[in-house]
Amino acid sequence: MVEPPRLWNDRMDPVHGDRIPHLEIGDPHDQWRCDGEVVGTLGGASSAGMRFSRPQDIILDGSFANVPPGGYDPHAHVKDLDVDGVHASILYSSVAGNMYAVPDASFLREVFTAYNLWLSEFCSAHPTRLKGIAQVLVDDDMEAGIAQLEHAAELGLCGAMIPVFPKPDETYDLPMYEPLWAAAQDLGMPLSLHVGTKRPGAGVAQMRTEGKVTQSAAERSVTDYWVRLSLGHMVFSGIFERYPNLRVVNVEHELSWIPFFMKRMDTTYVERHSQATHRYSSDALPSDFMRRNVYHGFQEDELGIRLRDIIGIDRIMWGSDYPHAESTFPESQRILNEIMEGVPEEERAMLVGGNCAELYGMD
Amino acid sequence: MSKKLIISSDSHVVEPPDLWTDRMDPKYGDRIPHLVTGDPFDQWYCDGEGVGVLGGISQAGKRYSNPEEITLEGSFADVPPGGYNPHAHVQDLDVDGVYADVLYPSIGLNLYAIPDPVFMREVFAAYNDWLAEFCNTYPNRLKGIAMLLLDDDIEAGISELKRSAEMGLCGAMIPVFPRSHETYDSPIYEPFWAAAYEMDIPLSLHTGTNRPGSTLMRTEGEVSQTGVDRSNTDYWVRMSMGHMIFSGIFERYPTLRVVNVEHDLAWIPYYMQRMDVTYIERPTQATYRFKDGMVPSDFMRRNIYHSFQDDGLSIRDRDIIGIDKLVWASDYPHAESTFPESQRVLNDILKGVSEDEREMIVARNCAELYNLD
Repeated sequence: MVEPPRLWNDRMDPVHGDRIPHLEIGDPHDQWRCDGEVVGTLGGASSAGMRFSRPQDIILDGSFANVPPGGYDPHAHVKDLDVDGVHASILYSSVAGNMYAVPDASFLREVFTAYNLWLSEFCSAHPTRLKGIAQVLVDDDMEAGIAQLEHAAELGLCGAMIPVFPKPDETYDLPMYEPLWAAAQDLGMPLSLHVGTKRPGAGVAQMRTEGKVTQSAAERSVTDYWVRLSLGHMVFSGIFERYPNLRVVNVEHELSWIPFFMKRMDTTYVERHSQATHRYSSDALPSDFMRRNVYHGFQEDELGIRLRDIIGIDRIMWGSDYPHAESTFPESQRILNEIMEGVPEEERAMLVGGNCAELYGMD
Repeated sequence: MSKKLIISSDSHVVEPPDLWTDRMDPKYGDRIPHLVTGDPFDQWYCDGEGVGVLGGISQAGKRYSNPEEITLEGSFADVPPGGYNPHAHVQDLDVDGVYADVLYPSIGLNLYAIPDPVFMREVFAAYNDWLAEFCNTYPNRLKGIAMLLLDDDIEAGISELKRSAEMGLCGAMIPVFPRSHETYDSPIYEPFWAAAYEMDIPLSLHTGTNRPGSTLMRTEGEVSQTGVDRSNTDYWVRMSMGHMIFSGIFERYPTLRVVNVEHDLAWIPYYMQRMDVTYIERPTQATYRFKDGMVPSDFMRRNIYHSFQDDGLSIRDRDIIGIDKLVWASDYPHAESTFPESQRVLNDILKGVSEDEREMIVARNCAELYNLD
């Protein structure tokens, strides 16, 4: 979905004033601000379909007036689902995902709580077709993060995002996260690692120039690095051994790097005991946990489909990314037919619906 | 060329303890790279920092018999003599059924992490001198790759490139990822690309050769790496190749060749696809636009070679990567090496590959890359 301009102003304590996320209607383009920083523009979040007609015109700047109403109106959203031949949507944010880059954790948690409230209202208009993923922040206050996760589950949201990569001194192999993994397993809430949701300070990628979120073409071509680091920290530290029913979802990084990554982890585990210091209690390998506990969202990675036997046919889930510029909307049916050519009907049903329904307990 | 000929595009020397102390101005004292013989293990120091231990670079073969015993620590006494003695090296080539080795350093790789560029240029010049002597003992079978440092003095890098070519070294390494404010899309490198292009010297990006500041792989003054870091090393070479490709270097220097070394292969089709999608659908991020309808993967296929060891999966995808750009390697004598089982490994991973393609992967592509006879 695409956040409406008053989402936060209507739901947050006015004491926060201009820190509250708000849309500045601009000339020539609109931009979102949160806690004094520009956190997003509207071009990329609203140009679905353009890639099929004139990709060279896709720009990151845009205006809210051009956002498809399906982004913020649940009835319009469901109509667009019908146009695209899709039954249900698992819904992630647009600009709110960028806000993971805002440093102040306690303020940001309030921002996310307001978002989660709005999202659950949005989904409740069509509860069987709209499924929302909460935004959760853990950082240094694990109790507060877990309370937010529990709140999201009570609101009926079906999963929760955590940063694709946390603050660099708080990587997911640390013991501080243990209560979070336990809570997510107990609640049956899958945790999503979505592209573009790093906490600040990670890496050489200087994604912020002159106060604006930016990204070079080279960086955009290696975004899988961050989710691989996080998955690696989880797998190598034995989380999935201790929480065998915990499920993690890798979102919007496509697929075809996964077999390579599994192999690299296995080789490292087998041949570098001094680096892979946590040794599993069984003779499991890192790739076994990848296949059991990690799900993968994708849009149109044909090569990834070719490699589905290695990745795990029951762990791959298609997504349209509606209404973003990368979306397959409104040509999802054609694209699915192309990339699934030669895939048996039963496997196809798993990739386009069955695996996702199983993950989120949908009928 | 004989039908059975095999060339390893990435093997290693192991630097002898006196390599630098014999060749560098004594005024540098303890800053000069030197081996401290230790109990229980030996350790190299350079410019006040611990820069490496000897286990990982000397335990070839163990992964096939007792991988759980591979350690990063070791002692120089256990390094196979082929690491530092050219005659012993050639004997090991015969054991493994390999005709020629393209040679990279061992400890030298880690030295890219030492900050002072002026000093490091002298360290690398001494290494290049030693390597040229090593290779000139068997000029047809031992082919050396020089070490270069660019940083802020591109002219000095160009001089060393010329000097190493005159000494008979067949290629040159540059850091797999430079200092973070000097990424390879910066115009400062233009004269360097031009020089490598004119001299027709391939440039190698070898795993583990980051300049400082670009990686978190250093804890408490020691070079360290977690299992997670080790599973993600392709990130750095992908960033550098992305900077080169997206900034149009290969359009301006169409026969410039870059070699991606020891990152395996199976990520390459994914990476090509990601670059192409970004180029086509994000012109505001991919601001340099190519002529003639070229897309990033076209430059990958034309200008970049890939050295690999035993990545059987990517052999499945060789049509996408480019069959003429794959160059096999043994990584002798490091712990990751296929030595002494290279023949068996090659037979396993190249099963079903036609004889002609096999010859390309195990020898012909590499011979072409380095103009070997």
